[in-house]
Amino acid sequence: MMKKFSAIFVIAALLAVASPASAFVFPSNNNGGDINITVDNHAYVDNDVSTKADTGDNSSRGGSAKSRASASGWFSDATSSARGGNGGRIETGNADSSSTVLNDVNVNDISVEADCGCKGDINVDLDNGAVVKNDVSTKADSGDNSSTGGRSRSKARASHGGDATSTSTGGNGGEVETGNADSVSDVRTYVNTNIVRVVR
Amino acid sequence: MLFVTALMAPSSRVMKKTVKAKCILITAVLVVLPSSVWADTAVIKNTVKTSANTGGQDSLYSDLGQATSHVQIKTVVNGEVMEDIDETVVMPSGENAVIEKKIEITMPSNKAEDMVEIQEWVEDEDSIQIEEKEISVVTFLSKIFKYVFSIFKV
Repeated sequence: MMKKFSAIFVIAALLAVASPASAFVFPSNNNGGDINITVDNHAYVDNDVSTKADTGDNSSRGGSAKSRASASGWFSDATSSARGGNGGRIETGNADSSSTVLNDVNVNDISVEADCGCKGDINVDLDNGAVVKNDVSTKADSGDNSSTGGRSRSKARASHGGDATSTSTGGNGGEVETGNADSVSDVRTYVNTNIVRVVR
Repeated sequence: MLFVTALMAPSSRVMKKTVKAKCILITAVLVVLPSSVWADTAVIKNTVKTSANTGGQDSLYSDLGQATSHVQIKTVVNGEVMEDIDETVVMPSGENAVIEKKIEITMPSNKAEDMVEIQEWVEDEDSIQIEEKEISVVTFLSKIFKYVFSIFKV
């Protein structure tokens, strides 16, 4: 019984919390007397925006080279030469990233039309509540590129009086040319805009 | 509260305490939560991070572009500009251009009774017809309400 009662009470509590979220307009005209308008707006907006433009993170690496020479005859020479390849040229385009957030929350544009010479007051009661959260992350990146030369490995071996010559040269890194990186965040929030017009 | 006390068994002290605690909790939910979440306020939280990067190369020869970050934040509450940020950061090649903004605006009650704007205008026939239609629906509904309430009065 108590559990049921608690459950009903909790539901009632939740309804009491949720009910102000609804918006309503309730005009009433008391037989040519006062005109009462009540507007109750409540809004919750949560924007989580992430934009990324990336033309970078490119990698170019020259090929690796491996050479091995061996001479076993009498007075035979062994010559070994290895050269790693050069890294290629990297050219990136521009990285343009743009985030645009536009919030237009609780806009009340009320027009009251009253007869000329009408009696009574015109009461307009506007009650607005808004929670707006904007979490915007914008990133443009054309960097973090890598162009490196290849590795080389050389080995020469001569026996029985021969000469052994070994040359090993690594490759050169390539050129990196990056484009521009442009990042734009535009967040516009318009909250609780009230326009009330009384037209005669 | 009295109703809750009347429903439970008088002998159980532990139960009494539990029910008391529940009642306090629910009352807190009813009173505190609506006032903080749905009160007459405007709460705007802007967390904006903008970054541009052309650097971080692993190469002996490099020709790097420019990094530009631009942030625009505008917040208007009931026609009043609360914040208007327009910022640009340009970094030379190879450096990070970062702009970070974390702004929170909390406005108190926004009652608009003093914002009433009175003006006269001439409307065309179409718009007048639409308004007449809206008024007739409202009148119809109010008549129904009045009828329902009159039943209870008798």
